[in-house]
Amino acid sequence: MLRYLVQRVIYMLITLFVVVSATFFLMKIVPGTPFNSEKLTDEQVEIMNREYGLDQPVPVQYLNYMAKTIQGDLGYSFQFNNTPVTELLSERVGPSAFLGFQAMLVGTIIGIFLGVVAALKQNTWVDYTSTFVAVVGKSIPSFIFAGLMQYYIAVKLGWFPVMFWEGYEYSILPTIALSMFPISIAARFMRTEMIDVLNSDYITLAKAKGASYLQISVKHALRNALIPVVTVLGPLAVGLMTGSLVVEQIYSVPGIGEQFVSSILTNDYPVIMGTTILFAALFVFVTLLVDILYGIIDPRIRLAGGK
Amino acid sequence: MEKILEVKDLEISFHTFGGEVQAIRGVSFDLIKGETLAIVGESGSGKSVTTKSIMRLLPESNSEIKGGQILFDGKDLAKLKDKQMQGIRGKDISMIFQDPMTSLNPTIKIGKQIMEPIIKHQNVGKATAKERALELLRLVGIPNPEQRFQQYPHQFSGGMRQRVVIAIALACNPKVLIADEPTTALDVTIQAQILELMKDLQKKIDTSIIFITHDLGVVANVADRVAVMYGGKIVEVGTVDEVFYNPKHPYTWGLISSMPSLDAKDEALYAIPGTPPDLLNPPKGDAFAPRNAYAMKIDLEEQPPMFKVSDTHYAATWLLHPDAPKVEPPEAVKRRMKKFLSEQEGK
Repeated sequence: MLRYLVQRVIYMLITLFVVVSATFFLMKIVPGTPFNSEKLTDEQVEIMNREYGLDQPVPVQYLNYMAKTIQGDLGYSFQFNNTPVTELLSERVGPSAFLGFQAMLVGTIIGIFLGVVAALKQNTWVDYTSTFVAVVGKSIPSFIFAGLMQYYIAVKLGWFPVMFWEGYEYSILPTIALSMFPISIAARFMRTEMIDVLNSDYITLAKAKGASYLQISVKHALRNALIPVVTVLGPLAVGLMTGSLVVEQIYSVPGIGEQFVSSILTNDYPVIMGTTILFAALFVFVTLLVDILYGIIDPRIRLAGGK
Repeated sequence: MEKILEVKDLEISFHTFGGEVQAIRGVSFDLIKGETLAIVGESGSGKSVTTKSIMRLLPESNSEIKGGQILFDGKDLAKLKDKQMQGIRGKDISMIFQDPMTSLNPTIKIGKQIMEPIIKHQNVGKATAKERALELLRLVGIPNPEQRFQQYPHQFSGGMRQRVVIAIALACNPKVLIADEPTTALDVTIQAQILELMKDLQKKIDTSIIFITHDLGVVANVADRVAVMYGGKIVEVGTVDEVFYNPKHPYTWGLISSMPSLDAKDEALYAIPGTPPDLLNPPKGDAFAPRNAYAMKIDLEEQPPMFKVSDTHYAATWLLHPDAPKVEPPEAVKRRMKKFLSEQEGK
């Protein structure tokens, strides 16, 4: 197991290296400069470029950047008054991660529940309701829910704050809006897998042993049906944790998504790079987590990876 | 001759998009205490459906027991509630399935899977259940039971898995054991081992077995009595000797003739012509009539009743009617009958 983990961490670092390098060069291909304010004279821009090392050839810039990054220095933002990128990210990542995690948790639990119930009560009104919820959740973008809830629940009914980020109650509406997608994905996958598993031979054998309905669904079916669902939920979780730009914007949540977009628009190179590294690191980490989770759920995979 | 299980006029239908499929059309048989009854017939003849209905394992959504009784222990299993049925499954009646590769839960340890029915039905603690499970593993011939107990199904070969499935089935010393083609999915050498094991086990534990198969060689090997099924009905039933040495139904003749034989030189292997009946629209007369070289006019018009050949031997063919012409079984059957007899004498 340890050897497997070490091996995986090495792979993760290689992945990160590739992602960071690719992003760096792609970013440099995009035309434009961070210093395109009309107030700046050409001379001033040149000074700034020299100051930030942007006058050097791209490969040299790349080597410099990588050298600093390895030391944990992600540089300073061009846009936000020379704030260190690490500080900028750590301020912003909190709300996004919290929202994402909460939405994922709520979404997965409700989604799996809906899917299981739909499969157990296949072709009844329960199943159709669950399907309806899933279709709605998947086909309507989260910002529509966000807008509707903001208007009807927050403004009209006044049950929750309309926007900003000043306490737990501020997170509830954005969480609901964000969780609609994971709910529908989990519900659909879970239903299909569960129906598949319930028709398998080992479920018949479990019935033949005299196991009750509940024992069959929980002990025998659920775990086997979860295996494929974990695959889709992993990457989905990263997407949510790293922020949903539009929902954050609607509720004025000071999250990372909003910052990412503005840094791209202003060619704020260090922030773009920093955010990319963060996203990529989270992604490879969750992928590892999903693989470990697989092993816990499915003994066949555990053995293959563990030797 | 104590009857442990009695199936009377069982009728089962499946509701499909195409309409009602009458899979079982009035099946009756008894299972006598301690015997092995083989049910043979080709695919779709209703062997599995009959036995699954005894366990009430048919899908509730589209199957229906339309009539008849399944009497066990004074109760009609066809009418029991789910909860009551759960108390019988795995305890009084248990089942061995066809494909050991898929019939064990891949994410649960073997030991736990064997312990499950023991804990459920025998009201014992985990320690006792584990001891019993280890005993069962030893009984079905799995080496290193302590180590195997902790392993998952994928760490077992097909034959070993079938042994585990047998161990699960035997966990609560069932009164009736249904084996639904237990050797079909295994390769030939393993088949022989599993059959040996089952014969051996029946001597050790006092249980009655219903053995479903389409392999007549297996029947001769394990069974006391045979029921031949065709088109959702039993067409001939009798002791193994009666059905093999004195078959009466043309379908049984066909089955026996189509058995490959080692000493049949220069003889094309016989195949019963035609296809099984469409049970969506079952024929008015004898379902086998269109494939039957000996069919008479009445076969197409009226279903034959069970004619008595001896106290234990019955067959549903109009050929046994007193007014029917005398018909001899085909040459291939006679040859095989002779061979069975000589083998019997040789033993």
